[in-house]
Amino acid sequence: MQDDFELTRRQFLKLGGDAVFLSLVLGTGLAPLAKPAFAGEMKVLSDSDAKTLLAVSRTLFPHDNVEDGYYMNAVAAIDTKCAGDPKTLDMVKQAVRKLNAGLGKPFADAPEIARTNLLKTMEKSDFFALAYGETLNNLYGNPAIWKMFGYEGSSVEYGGYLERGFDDINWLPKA
Amino acid sequence: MAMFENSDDSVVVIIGSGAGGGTLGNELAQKGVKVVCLEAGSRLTLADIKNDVGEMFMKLSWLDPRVGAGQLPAGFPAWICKTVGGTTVHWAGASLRLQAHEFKTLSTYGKVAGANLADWPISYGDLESYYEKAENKMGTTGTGGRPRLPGNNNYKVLEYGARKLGYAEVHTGNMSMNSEDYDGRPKCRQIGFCMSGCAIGAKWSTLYTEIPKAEATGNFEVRPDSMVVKINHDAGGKVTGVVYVDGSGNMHEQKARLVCVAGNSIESPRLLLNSASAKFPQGLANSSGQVGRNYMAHMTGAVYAIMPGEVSMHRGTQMAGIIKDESVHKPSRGFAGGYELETIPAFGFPGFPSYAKPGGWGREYAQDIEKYRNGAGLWIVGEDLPQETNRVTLSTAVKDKNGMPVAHVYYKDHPNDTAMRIHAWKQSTALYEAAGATKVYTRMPFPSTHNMGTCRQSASARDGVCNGYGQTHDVKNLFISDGSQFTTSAAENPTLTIVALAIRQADYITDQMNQRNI
Repeated sequence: MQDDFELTRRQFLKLGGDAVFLSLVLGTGLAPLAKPAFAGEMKVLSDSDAKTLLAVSRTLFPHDNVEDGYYMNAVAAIDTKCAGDPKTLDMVKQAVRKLNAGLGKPFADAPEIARTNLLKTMEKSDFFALAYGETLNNLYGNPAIWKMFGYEGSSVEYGGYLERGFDDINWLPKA
Repeated sequence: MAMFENSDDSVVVIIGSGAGGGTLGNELAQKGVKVVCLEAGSRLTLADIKNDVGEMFMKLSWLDPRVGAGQLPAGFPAWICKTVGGTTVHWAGASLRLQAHEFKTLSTYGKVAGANLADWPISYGDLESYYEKAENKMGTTGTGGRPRLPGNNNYKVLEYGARKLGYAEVHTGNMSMNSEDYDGRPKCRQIGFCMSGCAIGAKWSTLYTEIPKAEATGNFEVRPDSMVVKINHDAGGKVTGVVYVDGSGNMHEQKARLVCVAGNSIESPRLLLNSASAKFPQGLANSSGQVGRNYMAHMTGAVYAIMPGEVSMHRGTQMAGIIKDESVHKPSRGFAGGYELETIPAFGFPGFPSYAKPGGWGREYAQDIEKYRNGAGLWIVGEDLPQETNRVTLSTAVKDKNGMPVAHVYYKDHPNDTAMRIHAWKQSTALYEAAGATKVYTRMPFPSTHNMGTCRQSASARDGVCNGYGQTHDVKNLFISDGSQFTTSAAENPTLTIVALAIRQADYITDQMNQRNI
């Protein structure tokens, strides 16, 4: 009579960014403190896997002035998930193989247009959902890079924006 | 602060402490009525409220399992709160009266195929004085001589585009957010995290207004971490108390003279359905079969634009302004009812990349993300039509940790909703382009924060669950005290109407108790 269904990862993730954000918030909470650029080591993925995944994150959201370390936080988060779940590790390893086999040269060495086109063919995959969600959360959720994008974070400790430019817009013509 | 015994059957039990339950509790307590308010969530203080979207989402939201279906997110059909103060901790503060014709949609719009339209059993006139009381209680700006808030950058973009399009009714809204110190609370500091909870209490929330005021009377006890799982009744069909589970997992029965349900429009019908008995096999107060039906969430959507200069839309009041011109009923636009356009920000980072274009990626999108400082945004909120098939039922697959079936929430747009959203997207796009936008993103709804209609008011017991006072047709000492009562959704944000209905209901309950009718 009713179409009850258990929430599956795919059903949840096909909603796109909202659901990815929510699932990450629900699953892990957001990183409360500014993370520096990544400077650690992988737990279960190889350096070569990490290089491919870094290229995936950079292809998803290419910001030329953001250094690799901030993207590597996303790669490290994928690595941590792989370390906790053999199925995820398998899925990621397979995807990395596919990425490196598809362009006649290592994925990371291919031009952006080729990387983009290949990733487009994988948009519906669990791997894409994982890489997309972890990049959104770990790259843009990192307060260390907010300033670069003009987001100012918490304001209550500065008394809000009442005397700090809440209405300082200067480019609108007079109506 | 009063403490009542579980065995005290003279108390009014209110389930939920938000706009409906918290307000009703204080109104009754002020009149000398003893109240036990059972709240499923825990109690925060202002010190717990941080300017952190993710942290506050975790602290405030209702994260217990629910099943979404139709076009709703499967695991998170609605974004409402589980905390003392309920969704008034999270709400944006917009406080708009319904329009007179919106109480009479069936008479005004006529029959619409696929919609379960009905007139409310009350009129605007019945509610007018209560709207005024609600506005004075909440310190609503632009009413009662209180000035409106100053407009922030995001508002100024909206206002400029609106004027270019010829819109006339454009201002910073009627907000229950202090433009001057009021009722012992400070004025808004333009902090910019309203929907994560107002850290200084400038925005009205029952958490730090109605609830402490009620406690000060000695007639009111709020019990946090108390999840009601069932309403009990006697052989005659009157309710006698409620069963709830406390924070340690222990079950209790709180006796009651009467019970008021205010758990928001998903939990309220779920509780009535979970309270089915031999006498009421379809669930409590459900002889009409309408409990859970006509679930409304408003026709919503959002628009984000990249402007030619800096906006910094995170600065200041989140719902900083409104355009009201489209809220009228004008069938020549191709749909019944109307909508409001209200500013919203993108909720920071990772909010903007997540929300501007859900699922977006690639270099072009990344370049737009780099223009975040130039981003402006608005939210569309309009009347959605009640449909019997949009419905809260009990899940047959998923139970909560107390073993009770969770809510299964099904929602799909009516063609009228879709036509209205397309119109609103088009107007909003034109608005931002008139102000020089270089890119405009239109998007579908966020998980719903406005939930209405699942125990609706009706003149006849056949067509709905409760009368014009929220008293259920079937059980005279059982009341619906939240947005579930709404017969139709209207175009306006619902909180002010929920508060006005609660104040009116308190008068009625007190009167009926004095007359010994209940």
